[in-house]
Amino acid sequence: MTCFVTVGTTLFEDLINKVLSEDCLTNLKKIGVKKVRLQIGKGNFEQEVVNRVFGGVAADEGSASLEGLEIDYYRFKPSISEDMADAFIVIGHAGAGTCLEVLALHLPFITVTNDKLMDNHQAELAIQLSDDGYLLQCTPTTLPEMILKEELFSLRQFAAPNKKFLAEHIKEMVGIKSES
Amino acid sequence: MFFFFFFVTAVILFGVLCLTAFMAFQVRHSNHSAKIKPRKEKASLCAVLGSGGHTTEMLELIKHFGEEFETRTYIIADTDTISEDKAKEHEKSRNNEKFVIERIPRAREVGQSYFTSIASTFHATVFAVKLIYNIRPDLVLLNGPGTCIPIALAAAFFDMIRLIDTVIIYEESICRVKKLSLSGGILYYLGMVDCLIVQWPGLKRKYPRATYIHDLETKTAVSSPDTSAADKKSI
Repeated sequence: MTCFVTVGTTLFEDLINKVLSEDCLTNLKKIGVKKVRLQIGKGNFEQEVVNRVFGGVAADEGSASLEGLEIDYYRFKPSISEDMADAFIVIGHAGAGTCLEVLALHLPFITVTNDKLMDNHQAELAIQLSDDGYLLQCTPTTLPEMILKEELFSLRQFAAPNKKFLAEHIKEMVGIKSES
Repeated sequence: MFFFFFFVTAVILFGVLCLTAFMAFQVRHSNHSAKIKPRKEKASLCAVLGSGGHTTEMLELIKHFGEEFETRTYIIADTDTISEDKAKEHEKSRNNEKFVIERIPRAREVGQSYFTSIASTFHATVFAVKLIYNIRPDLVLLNGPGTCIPIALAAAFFDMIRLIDTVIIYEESICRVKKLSLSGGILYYLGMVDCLIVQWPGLKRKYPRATYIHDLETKTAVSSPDTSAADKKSI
């Protein structure tokens, strides 16, 4: 029962700090999470979190155990797909790549938009996907309530457009006879 | 008096020029019935790879092409190495040695001002014209980066003067939900692409000449009872 948190290649300290805040961790435990794994990118935890969770030690990677929750973090990995596939729920930034990768795995998914960024056009996709009910979308402040939402476990399954038909259409336009 | 005649001649010449351009444009677009008839066994493909997500999306589509696209050219922006690796990896996975990677100067770096990007676009266009003339592709695939504008211009130009016969396809990224990207918008309003694919119904409503990707599914997939198809239509 792992909760995987990812910020991709961005800097999103509000998210990683909020996930390790007390109310977020309590709510994660309520839904049955036993382990929190964070991919923190370029960001750093704030001092309060470092002291409370990691005993004052901040590094590029590390782990801790807090009131029955295992917590570990790292900055980057060549491929985070394995961590993602192992997860029970995923909390991530609203980047398009992350969104599509998680939705392809049909996992309960909360995207967190960085409300401090002006005109965040990356969030456009996340908002549309949340309007259509494929994922939940929130800001760092509302994350704790979002975790407890029942809809999280009854999200619609997203099917990415099938490129096969597009390829057939293109072949037809170019004038190539298709095999079938 | 002299200036008057000069002016009139200039207007007439300009009119002739516009008319020729318009006719060339019409010819390019009326050519479709010929293009639809199966007539080729092999074709050459030319894909413009952008940065990051664009490349992933493009290769996702190219994956569905097989032996029929014999010669493949990938056009990559000067400064991009990740896309090159991805393209090589893809071709390796299908045991193909016959592909070329070409580099083109960037038309517009992310964040570059609109004014200076005109100059660099011109520079890139000269490159693109030479490149397209040498490759003579049957199919040009574009999907978003600034680099694709000069390539599209060059390909459409040669197609209009009937030197080469090219189908130009632009696929808008799935990230675009409400508005086409800058490159997509330019190509849409200039009418230079044969087919502009959008992935969200909102875009299709706003840009009616575009093709909505799920419409293609229902067109071809009459025989396969796909359970998710009904679901998709309701989006």
